[in-house]
Amino acid sequence: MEENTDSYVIDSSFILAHLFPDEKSQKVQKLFNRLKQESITLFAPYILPFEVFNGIQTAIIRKRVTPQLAKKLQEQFIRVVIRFKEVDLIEASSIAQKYLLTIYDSSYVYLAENLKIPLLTLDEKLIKLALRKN
Amino acid sequence: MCMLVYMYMLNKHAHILFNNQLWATLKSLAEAKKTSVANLIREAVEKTYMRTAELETRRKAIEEIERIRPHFKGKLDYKEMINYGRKY
Repeated sequence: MEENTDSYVIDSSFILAHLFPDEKSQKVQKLFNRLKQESITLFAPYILPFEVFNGIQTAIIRKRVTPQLAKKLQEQFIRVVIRFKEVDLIEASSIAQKYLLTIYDSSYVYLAENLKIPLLTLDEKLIKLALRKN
Repeated sequence: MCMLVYMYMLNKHAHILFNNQLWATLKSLAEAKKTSVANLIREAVEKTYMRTAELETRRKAIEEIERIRPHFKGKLDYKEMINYGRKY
């Protein structure tokens, strides 16, 4: 993660790690501490909220969180001001084929490449891909 | 699902007074940017005040999440959680 950048593409794994932190979420917390103090712009494809809500849905099904608490987390997540951007699906598809990714994942990679900014993700494959790009 | 939706319909009118120097600066900037003084002012207000409001909303949301969220021991597979949730 580049420490002094003021714009990032953020993915759903990163958001979920903030909503449901585990023992390895220090990197995520560090970024959210910056978000509370600095003027940082977050970008994401339009699929991000659907993925985040899917993750929350799983947490409810597995009784990791009550529906009431999940609703509160959903309401606050919506207020974490993220700028949603259109993705060129043909380009995203090319990236998916080239690096054997799903279209969902390649849409984040597409956006990071297109905006020329770092991608915040916990997905090992995407981290390696981002490192190779840099 | 968008966080903040701005309505760009311009239906409020403001009468603003400027001193000569500020007016001349705005006029020459507007000419250089091939836009209107009104548009320059709207952009400046949006950048200065709307951004501040957005960041304040975000800060409060993050603080509230951190106050109420559950914590888990071990390691969660967030990707798997996303994919599992797609089935329901």
